[in-house]
Amino acid sequence: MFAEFLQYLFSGLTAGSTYALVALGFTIIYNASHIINFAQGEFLMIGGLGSVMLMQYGLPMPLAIVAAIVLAVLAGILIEKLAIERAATNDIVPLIIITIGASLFLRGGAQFFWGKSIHALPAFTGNTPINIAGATILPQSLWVLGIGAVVVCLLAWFFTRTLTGKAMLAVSHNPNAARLVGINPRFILMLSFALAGALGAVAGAVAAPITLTVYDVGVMLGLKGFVAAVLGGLGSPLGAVAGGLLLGIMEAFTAGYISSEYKDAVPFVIVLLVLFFMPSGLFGSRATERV
Amino acid sequence: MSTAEPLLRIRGLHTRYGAVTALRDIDLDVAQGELVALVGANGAGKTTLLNTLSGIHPHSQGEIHFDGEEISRLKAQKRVARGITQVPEGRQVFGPMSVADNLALGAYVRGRGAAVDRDIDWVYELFPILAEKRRQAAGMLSGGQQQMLAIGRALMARPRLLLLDEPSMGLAPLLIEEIFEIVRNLNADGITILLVEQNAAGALAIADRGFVLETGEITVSGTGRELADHPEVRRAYLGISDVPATENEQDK
Repeated sequence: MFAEFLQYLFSGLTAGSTYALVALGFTIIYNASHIINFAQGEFLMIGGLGSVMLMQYGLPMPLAIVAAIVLAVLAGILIEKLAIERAATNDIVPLIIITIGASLFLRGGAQFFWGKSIHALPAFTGNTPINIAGATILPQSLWVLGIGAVVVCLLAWFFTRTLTGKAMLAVSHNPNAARLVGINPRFILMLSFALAGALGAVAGAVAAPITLTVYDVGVMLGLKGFVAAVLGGLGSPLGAVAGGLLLGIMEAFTAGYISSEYKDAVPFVIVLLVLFFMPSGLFGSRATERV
Repeated sequence: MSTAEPLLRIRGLHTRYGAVTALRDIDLDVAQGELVALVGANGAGKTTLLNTLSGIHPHSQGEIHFDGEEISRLKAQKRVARGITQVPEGRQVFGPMSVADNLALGAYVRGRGAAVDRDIDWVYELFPILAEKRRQAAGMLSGGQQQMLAIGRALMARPRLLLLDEPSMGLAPLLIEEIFEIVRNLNADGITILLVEQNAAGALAIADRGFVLETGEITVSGTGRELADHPEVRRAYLGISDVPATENEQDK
C-alpha cells in the first residue's frame, strides 16, 4: 500500500520536475515582457531530439547534450531577434501569436530534418532500478530530480545575487523605472528567451530517456508546463516549481488510483478549475506596494 | 550666467502623442551647477519633457544638447551612462526588491565594484533611514522614505544632470520641506538639477531660475525670485499652492 503510494510519488515528482523547468521558462519570458511563449515546448524537443540526432552524427552523449542546449539557446535568441523584435509592437496578443508561429516553424523544421520517428536517448547511468522502501526508481529519475534541483538553485542564485538577474526582476516589477536606471529592455527580453531555451533544452534532454522524444513531443509538454505555471501563479518562479511538481504528482496519482486513461486530462481539468476559482494561482502576485 | 556652453541646451523641441502635440517649440538652457525649476499645472507637459530628455519618449522635432553633444537620438540607457538620470514621478521604486537591491540597480550602467560600494555607503550617510531598512522590501517603506530611496537610486548612477519629477507629490508638509532641503543640498554639492514641481512656491524658493510650462509651451521664465514675484505666476500657481502663507511673505 505504502510502496504503491511511494511509487506513484516518485513517478509524479520525476514528471513534475520536467514540468517545473518548462514552467520556469514560461515565467522568465512572461516576467520580462508579459509574452506567453508557446514555443517553450519546442525548446524541450530541441534538447531531447537534438541530443539524439547529434549522437547519431557521432558526438558523445555529454557533448551532444551541451550542443543541443546551445542550439535551443540560439533558437530562443533568433525567435526574439528575428520575430519578436522585428514585430516592433508592444501589443501582447500579436507577439503571443508570433510565438505560436515560431513553435510550428521549429516543429516543422525538426520533422523535415530529423524525421517523424520516436527516439530514446540512452539513460545516463544505466537502467537498473533502485529499490527504496518497496518502491523502485530508475537512476534516470534521480538525474531528472537532481538536475532539476541544481537548475532551480542556479536560477535562484542568478536572480538574487547577480546584477543582471536583478535587472531582469526590475524589468518585471517596473519596466519604466528599469529603463530610467539604464536597463535595456531589449537585451533583457533576448536574455529571457535565451534562458528559457536553455531551461527547456535541459529538461528535454534529461527527460528524453524516460519520456522518449519525437518532433512534436513539445506540444503536450509545453502545454503541461504552461498549466503548471498558471497553477503556481503566472510570473512567480516559486509558483512555477511548486505548480510543476504538484501537477506531476496529481497526474501520477490519477493514473495510479483512477485510470491512466485520464492522466493527460488532469492538466486541463486543473487549468479550468484554477481559472474559475483561483485565477492568480498558488503564488500569484499580490500587491506589496504601499502608497 | 557665464558665456560657457550650458550643460543642457534644448532648442525647438516638439514632442507628440499620436496626433496630439504635448510639447511645442521648447527652448531651455540649464547651466552647469544650476538648479532650475519647471512649474506648471497637471497635464502641462512637465513629465513628458523629462521623459523626452531621458529618452523614454521620442521627440518629433528639435535638438537636445548635453555637454555639447546632440543626444536626441540616443537610447535611454546611453543617456543614463552620459550622466542624465531621472527620479520619476510617483517614485517608482522596485517594490518587492530590497532597499539595497534598489540602490545596486541604480548603478546598473556602472556595474559593480568598490566605487559603487562607496557610493552606496554615501547614500546611506545621506539618508540614514535607508541604511536602517536596507534589507526591507522597498514597497513597504513610507512615502517619504520611498522618495529618498528613489533619489538615492538616481544618485547611484553618478548623475551630472538630475531630473526630479514631482518629488513632493503626496507627502506631508514637513516631509516636503525635508525633500526640498535635500534637493538644495545636492545642488550645493555640485549636481545640476532640473526640478519639475506642481508645488511652485517650494520649487521657486530654492531654484536659481524657473520656467512656467502651460499646455506644452514655456510662457514665463526668469530667476526663481522673479517668477515668485510675477503677478501671473502668483495668481495661477502660488495662489493655489498649499505652502504656508509665511513662506510667500518672505519673498516680499
